[in-house]
Amino acid sequence: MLTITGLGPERSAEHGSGPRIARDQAGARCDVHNTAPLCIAVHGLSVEERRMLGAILQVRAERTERRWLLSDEAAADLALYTREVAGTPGEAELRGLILREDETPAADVLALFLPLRVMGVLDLLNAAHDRLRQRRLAQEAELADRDDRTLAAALARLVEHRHDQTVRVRILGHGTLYLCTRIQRFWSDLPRERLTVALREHRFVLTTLAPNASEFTEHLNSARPLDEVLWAIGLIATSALADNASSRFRLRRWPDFTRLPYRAEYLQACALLAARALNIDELAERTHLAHIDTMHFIHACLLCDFLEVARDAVPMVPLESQPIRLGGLFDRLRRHLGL
Amino acid sequence: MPHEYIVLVAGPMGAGKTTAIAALSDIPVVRTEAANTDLLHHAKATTTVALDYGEITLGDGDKVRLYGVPGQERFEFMWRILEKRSLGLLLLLDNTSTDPLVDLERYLTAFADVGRRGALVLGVTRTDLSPEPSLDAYYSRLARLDRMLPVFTLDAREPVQVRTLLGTLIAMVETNITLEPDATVTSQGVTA
Repeated sequence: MLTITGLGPERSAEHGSGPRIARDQAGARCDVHNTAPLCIAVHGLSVEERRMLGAILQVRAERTERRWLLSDEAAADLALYTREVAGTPGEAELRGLILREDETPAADVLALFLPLRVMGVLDLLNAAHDRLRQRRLAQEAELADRDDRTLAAALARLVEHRHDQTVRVRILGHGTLYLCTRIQRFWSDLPRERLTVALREHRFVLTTLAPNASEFTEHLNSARPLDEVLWAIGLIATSALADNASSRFRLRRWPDFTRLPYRAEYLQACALLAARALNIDELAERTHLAHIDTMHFIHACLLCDFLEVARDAVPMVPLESQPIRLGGLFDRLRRHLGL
Repeated sequence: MPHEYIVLVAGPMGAGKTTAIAALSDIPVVRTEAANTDLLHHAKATTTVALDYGEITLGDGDKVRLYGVPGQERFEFMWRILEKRSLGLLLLLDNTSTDPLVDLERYLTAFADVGRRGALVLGVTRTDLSPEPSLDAYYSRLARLDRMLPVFTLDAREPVQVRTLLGTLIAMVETNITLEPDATVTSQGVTA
């Protein structure tokens, strides 16, 4: 019996994991959980205007979501420019304009209006903080996707070795999951809607069992097809093979999308892979899926054995040489079907 | 000028064609039924003897016409006429029938044109009552016939599942057109 324990991000898993994911220093300053002040640089203000802005930041600090300090460009999270100097290159994560009060900025442009008014400054700073926070949340979500210490990552590595095995996983705070690759079945006491959340968990105990272990066989009548959990794993965990642009894949069989969750782009991806062998970049280009979503789709298909690596594939004709002549019929049909 | 397109729904008697069309259609399904004279093999009071008809309205007058072709072989002449003009075919197979894999081969032969175009999606119904043949068996049979087609388990009473089949058919037809630069879609079907 082999036991593997995932003990959370503070300790390495015993079965060996990839490198810890590093956070860049600038990003840490705007960590959603951080309370360190944010920095604003301004270009083109007069000395008096700059002094007034500094006073507003100091006196009204409690009116903004985070404290802001005036700084130079190098340390700035937000840099503001008058139109005259708007082309100045800079390193700040966010940029905005300094405008006169009778000017109208383009949509989505962060703007500070002159003459300076307290509420105008506070609104701008809160808007900037919100954008920085949203960007950091998106980056954290992507980092979580690449976290190889999740239960999903551990199970993906187990399945990829393709040995016949039966495993029990006790997932802290969630429940128990049994998988048997020999008979392609799984059983869990988790509600199905909680399975994806549980697969992202770092704290679990994974134990291999004897092939006919009664604690699993007693659930055989209610066991589900294994591809339902493998599909979910593939959409969470990363895969070096799936992300390798030199590998081309061809569909062996279609995922059973009446049981497996899907996006409209997955249907297109499968139709393409049934007709041609493609690599991840070609597939992403043709389906308009983001690269990471394409990688997850390919990984899910690989885990479920829906794809094979094509040894004899030839590169596909570039997309721009294939004009679409569909007149919108299929888009309208997809919308009608809710896809 | 409005355009009309045709999608066929085919399969043996009792496979769920009428139910599937009802799940897709924007109008009540027009049914042509008569008493079932084959009660020995099918415990249904009635069966389709001509065509079931449903519609999907897309706006601007464009329509997708859904035709459920009857399962009896004596209506095969109808299949020829409709197949030529269709975008594609949803083929439903009843997994509780005597030999669904034989049914599969029969329909693939009968609808060879749409099969060759890759505009054919299989839905296997009643797998809860009869898990065998498995989907693996269907794919093995398709591989022997040198075909790669989507095969889904299907409860024809579930609109979401039937929409998945039609969405898949759309993806396949669209891909084939994209990969065949000279192919076009018209109300006369797909021409290469």
